[in-house]
This record gives sequence, structure tokens and C-alpha cells, in this order.
Amino acid sequence: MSELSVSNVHKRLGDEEVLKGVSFELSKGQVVALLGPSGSGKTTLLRAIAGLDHPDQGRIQLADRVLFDGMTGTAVPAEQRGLGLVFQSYALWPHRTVLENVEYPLRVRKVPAAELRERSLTVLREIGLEGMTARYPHQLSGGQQQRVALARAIVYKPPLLLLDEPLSNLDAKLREEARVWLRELIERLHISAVCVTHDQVEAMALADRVILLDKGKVEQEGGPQEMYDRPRTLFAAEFMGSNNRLSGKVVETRGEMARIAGMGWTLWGQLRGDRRPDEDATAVIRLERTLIQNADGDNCLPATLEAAVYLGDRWDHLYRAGDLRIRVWTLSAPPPGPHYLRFPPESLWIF
Amino acid sequence: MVLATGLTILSPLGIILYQSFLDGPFFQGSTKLSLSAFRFVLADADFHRAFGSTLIVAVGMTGLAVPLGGLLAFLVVRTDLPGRRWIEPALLIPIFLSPVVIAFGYVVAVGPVGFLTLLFREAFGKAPWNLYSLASVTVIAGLTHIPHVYLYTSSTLRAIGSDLEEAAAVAGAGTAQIAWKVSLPMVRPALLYSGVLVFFLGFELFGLPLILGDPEGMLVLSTYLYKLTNRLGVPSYQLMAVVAVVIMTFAFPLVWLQRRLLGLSGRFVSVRGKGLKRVPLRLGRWRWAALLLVLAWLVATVVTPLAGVFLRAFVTNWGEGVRLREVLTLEHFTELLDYPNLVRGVVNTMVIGVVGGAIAVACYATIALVQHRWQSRWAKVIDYLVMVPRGMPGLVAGLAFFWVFLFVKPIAPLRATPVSLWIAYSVVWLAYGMRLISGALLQVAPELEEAALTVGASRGQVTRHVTLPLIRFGLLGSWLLIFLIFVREYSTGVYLLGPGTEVIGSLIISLWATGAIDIVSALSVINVVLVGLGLAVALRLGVRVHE
Repeated sequence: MSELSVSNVHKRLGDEEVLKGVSFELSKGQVVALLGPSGSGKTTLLRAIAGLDHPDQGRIQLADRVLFDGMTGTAVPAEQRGLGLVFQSYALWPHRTVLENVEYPLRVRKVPAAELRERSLTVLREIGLEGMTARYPHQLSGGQQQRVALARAIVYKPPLLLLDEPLSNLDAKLREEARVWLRELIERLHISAVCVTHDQVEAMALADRVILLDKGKVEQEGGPQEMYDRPRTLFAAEFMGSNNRLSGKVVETRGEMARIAGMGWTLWGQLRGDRRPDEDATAVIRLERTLIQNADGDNCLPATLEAAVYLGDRWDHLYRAGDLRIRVWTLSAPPPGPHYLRFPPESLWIF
Repeated sequence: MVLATGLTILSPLGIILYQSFLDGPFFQGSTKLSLSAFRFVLADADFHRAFGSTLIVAVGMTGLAVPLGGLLAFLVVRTDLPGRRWIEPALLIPIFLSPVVIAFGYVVAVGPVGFLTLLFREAFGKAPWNLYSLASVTVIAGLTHIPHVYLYTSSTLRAIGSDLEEAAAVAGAGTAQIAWKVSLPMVRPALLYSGVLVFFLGFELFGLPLILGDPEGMLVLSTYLYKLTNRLGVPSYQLMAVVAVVIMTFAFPLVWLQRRLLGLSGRFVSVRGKGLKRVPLRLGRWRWAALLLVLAWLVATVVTPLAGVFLRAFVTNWGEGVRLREVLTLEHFTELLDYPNLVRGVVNTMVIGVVGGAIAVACYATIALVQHRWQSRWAKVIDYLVMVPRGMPGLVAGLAFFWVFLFVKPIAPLRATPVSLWIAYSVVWLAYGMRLISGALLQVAPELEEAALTVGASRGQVTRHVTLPLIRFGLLGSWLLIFLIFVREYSTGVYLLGPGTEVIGSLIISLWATGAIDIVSALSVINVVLVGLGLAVALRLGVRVHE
């Protein structure tokens, strides 16, 4: 049974329709990522679930409790929903210590003093901040503040945790650690969570299911691997990874395959969508799936190396093939000699 | 709550409008609706002269205050002017000094027998100025309103960051060129706004023209209104109401214009550059000339009148040939104690400032919080209601409340208590107070409140546990500023003055008319000292004096 069910949610902000009928389901213990560029409506959707904004129409249901229903006019206020929300800015109360921040949700729930202290300390221990209880938020690092915000959101055991760009305020190095830590914590505590992010790596790392939003609509949803390997639209393909993008014309189709040609090049790829011969099309291939070899072969283009950058965990090459500029990621430096770029047809998607 | 606020704000306005269309005071049974009062006032030659003088003073002081205030802001915020640190707070003093005190100080210092005039006459035989003229009122009003321009312009200058100017400097522009070509266009909205503000304040001017214009019979609209009382012998309420209506007819569009402009200049400021680090522009050899200019202004607007007030308060008499050492005395202050109404005035002033100020801030905060939380149309209604008192100068508002207390029988007993004053003060300064509080509320990031909501706190708990604790410093600062404003206030209390409702400001006005200079000077000193104490505490606590 689904824990959270969002169906056909619409929301206007001023003249703009930010959400144009979004639906998705979340099962118990699952983590769903709402992924999308800025302006896709993901934060608006999260705020609608939290009850901080109310949609114009649609329905939001938590287990068997209706939180919002545009038809019946039901709109449970945020304070009665009992959800946990971690804000992008953490929103820790600067006039309260770490312990007081974490205790507050229990305090408004009138939990007896002894139990309140005990539960707060347990959560703080769980997130590794037991020594910091008497500090004020400004005395903590960004990562520690994030943990406090998380502790405050889970101390009352909400049925659903909402995370708004939970990692975006951390610096790059810390973010990777926090990602793993957060995923591990969510699994250990069996929390159901909805996480908003604009970073596809973060979405894939944290979530069991990714819901890709664009311009207020669900573009595609699925497991991380499905989303990365089998994007159904050009937008999904481009958003989920780093790509080469080749514009040309479809010249022939053969079942699921199609041949696309541009100025002085022609390549076979997998047909996604319904392009027909003679129509303009875009071919997309992930940087790491483009291959470098010394000899010509099927679906290859001769290319000259313009620049190569060593990034530690990989090499990033920039090639020129006629008018095309192609980037390739490899694990090791390519051997010297003439270079041909191979575009495996199953990895070159034609939209 | 909207209803209570609305009633308090709109009833004085309503009673003035109603009274202006009657042919006699509203409490006389025989009055009828008529336009006779309008006809009388609009045909009165004195009214025409007063109206003309008001325009001259308002235009003149705007023309003086805007360029000088802008220049001052540029010098203090943007250049390496020596002593910027202590000049800044000194600049604000005129805002919190009562104009009656300043006017009185000028009379003592540079009036026909003022001590500076006498010194000057001794040295050169003749003093080339006449304090009791329209020109003097205009110049003094202009000089004392420079801080208003300074406040808005300097905050805009500060918000913009100096990278734009640095870019010009790198491109090879000199300081003067930068000021003219880069800084000026950036602060133009602020200058425009403060220009309208000063012009508007020109219409409200009361203390200065009353004291400086009186000897030569010069009138502006507010003093014309004030003098009307004794003009016809009988209480000519309908005429006063008409003059009040005329003043408000000019004030309301100006208030509306200010609001529009503030919105515009706000938008301008929000395009702020990221790095706000400021490297002062070098004035070079003009540094000391600039400092001299600032000092000259300070001497003219603060030191001179204050010196006059203090000097006069501690001497028995003053005139040609008097030696300072022989006339020094403290007896004006001891004399105060002999008059119970004066003692009450001092006590009332302090009580209204401290206690009344605190209650007023509590009221403002309540309204602001309701408005802050309610995203409904009532919030908009309050927003407009708050504007209304801005269009009523203190003198007019005081008069209106006096009438309200006469008209509405159940609250009539309050008229002889400081409560009536407190209500009038609170309404007159409502817009200012609300701006102070909403300024503090703006500092609270909305997600801090939303975080409390999502963890289950009720709206009331959010306010008590999050919002109020976070703005407590802002509230304290507002209290101090409202204290200063209430202590300084004089015009609102003029019509409400009676046994039990004496305050220093209105006492000075009424005693001035009787010629009791000794007492006026002593009261003025007490007023200045109170304001000085409040200002010192405020600066000490780091309260941003700018709204």
C-alpha cells in the first residue's frame, strides 16, 4: 500500500502555472527524489505536501488520511500534518541551543520532561552530535547544522520525512560523505522520505525512485538505473548525465534503429521517440559511453584530439570530428596514434 | 482587531470632514450642513498669504535640504572624510530635537538680542540678518531637514556597494566625475523620495514658523490654523476643520507619492552587488574643506540653537551689556517646582515616553504580526489604514482627537488624562512605528517560522516561541526610538493641553505665547536632556536609528 499518494496537483503562482497536474506514489520505507531544474516546480510540490502552500486542485493523501483535497476543500494545516521537513537553509532557530532545537517538536507535543530529554538525546546520539547539545547553531559547521535540522525533523518519528535540497549547502567534499551517511541513516531508521534536488547524482544516490519534473509536469519516473539507461525523452536523457549532443537529420529507420546524418557524418543509433526519415533529430550519447580506438570500424568517426584534461579519477578529452566537438571520458590516457571515436549504436539515442 | 484599528484611525478623519461641512461647532444643536466655512476660509486674505508662505517654505527647504543632504551622505558613506565615525551619530541629532526647542534656541542665539547677534554687532556694528523672516524659516527648516535626506540617501549608497565606483575609478575617472556620473544616478530614486518627504514635512511645519514667524505676523497653514482659535472669539471649529481639510488635501497625495517612490527605490536597492566591501574615495586636499563644511552645518543647526537654549536656561536675564558671570543662576529650574502643572508636564512626558512608548510598540507589534501572518485581504486593508495618519500632521491629529473626545460621550472622561495624549501620539506615529516593527520582522527568515509550523507548533506558539524572541532586539530598539519621538512631540498635544494632559512640548508652545522665557528655556533644557539620554542609550545599544 502506498504511504503517500499525490494525484493531479495543480498550483498557480501569479500568472505562472507552476504545477500542471503532478501525480506520484510513495510506498512505505521508500525514498523518492523529486528531481528537476529550477522552475520545474519541485520545491512548490514539496511545500504543498508539507502544507506550507496549498495547491489549487488535486489530492494529497498520507496512508488513509486526506491532507488536501481540492474537490472537498480539505486542507490540513502544516502544524497538524505531523510530517518532518528539513529546509534547504536548515532553518535552525538561532536563539535556541542544539538540544532546545531538537526538543521543541516534543515540547509542543507535550511529551513529559524526562522522556523528552531522553528521546532528544537518543536522536542526537544517533546522528553523532551528542557532544554538541549546549551549542548554538552558529557555533556549528554546515554539516553539523544539517544534522541538527535532520534530528529536529525525525525526533517525533514522523511518518514521512521531507528534504528540501538537503545537501546543497555543503561543500563538494562534504556533500559526498553526507550523501552516503544520509542514505544509510534513512535505511537504518526505516524512514519514508521525499527529497527535492536539482542534482541527478544526489537523486540517484539517495532515492529508490526518481521523479523527473520539468515545467510543472512529470517527465519520467523510475529507478535510478532505469532513468539513467533508458531515458524516454531528450530532456530526461540530457538531464540525467553528461552528454554529447549531435544534431542532424534522420535518413533511414530499420525497426528500433535509425541512421542520423549531419554535415559529413552519419551514424546508427537507437530510435527513441517517433522520428521519421527526413525529420530533424538529435542524437545523444553519454560521455563515458563514447569510445576511443586506433582503427576505423562500425559507427566510427575519425577525430583529432584538441585537449585532454586529467581529473584524477578520469580523463576528459575534447575531440573535433569535422564540425562536431565531442567530449569523451576515459579511465586512462588513450594510446598515441590516429584516433577514431566509436558510438555504440545501443548507446546513441536518437530523439 | 481590524475594526478597532480602523475606528481609531478613521474616527478623527471623519470628524474633521464632518465638522468642515457645518456652519458652527458640532456640539451646538443649531448647526446645519453648509459650505459657508469653506467659503469663508477660501476668501480670507490671511489664508492666501499663509498658503503662499507654506509653498515658499516647503519648496525652499526642499531645494536646500536635498542637495546638501545628498552631498553629506556621499561624503560620509563614500569618501575618506576625517572623523566619519562620530559625525554619523551627530548628523541624526536634529531629527530628534523638538523644532520648538531649536526655534527657541535660534531666538536666543541669533534673534534681535541674541548673544551671537550682540557679539556680531559689537564687532561690526550691525548684524546683517533678520531671524524673524520667511527666508530664515526656510533656511533653518532646510538645514534641520538635511538628516532626513541623509538617511535615505546613505542607506541606498551603502546598499549598492562600491564596486561600481571602483570600476569607474579603474577606468580613470576622478572623484568628482565618479560622484557625478556614477553615484548620483544610483541615488536618484532616494533623492527623489526624500525630496517629496521633505516637501511634505514642509507642509506640516509648525514649531519653527510659530516661533520665528510670529513677531512679524508671518503665517503658514499650520500656524494660521493655530491662530484661528483666537481670531473670531467664538470657537470657530468649522473654520479650523476646513484648514485641516486643506492641509490634508495636500498631504495625502504626497503620502501616496512617497509610497510609490519608496517602492521604486526599494526595487533599485535590491539590485545590490554581492560584495559590499567599500573602499572610500579619496578627497585629497578637499578632505579638510569637506570636513569644515560638515562642521559648519553642525554648528549652525545643532550647536548654535542648543548653546542658546542652555545659555538662556542658566542666566537670569540677557540683553545688551549683560555680563555672563553676574547673571548665572539655577533658579529657573527650582522655579519649575512651584508650578504643579509644569511638574506634571515633565512627569507626563516621561511616562508617555517610557510607558506609553512601550504600550504603543506592543500595539504596533500586534498589528504588524497580524499583518505578517495573515496573507489575506485584511492585511491589505490594514496596510492602507496605516497610511491614513501619515496624511494628518500632529497639530491636525491632535485637534481631531480633541473633538473625538468631545463628541463621543463614553470616552469623554479620558480627555483630561494622559491616555488621550497617548492615543493621539500612537496614531500619529503609527506608520513610523509599523515600519520599525516590519523592518525587524523582515530580518526573520520565513522558514524559521515554517520550521516551527511543520514540527507541529500552532500559530500562536510560532509567534511566542520563534518570531517574538527573534525580533526582541528590534522591539527594544523600536521602543527607544518611539520614546525619543514621544518625548520630542509637541504639536499633537497642543489642542489636547489641559490640566492633567500637560507635556513639555505643548507647554513650551503655550508658555511661549505668554512670554515666560525663563520657564520655556528650563523646559527646553529638560527636553533636550531627555532626548539626549534616550539617544545615547540607543546608540550605545547599537540601535539602527534609521527606520
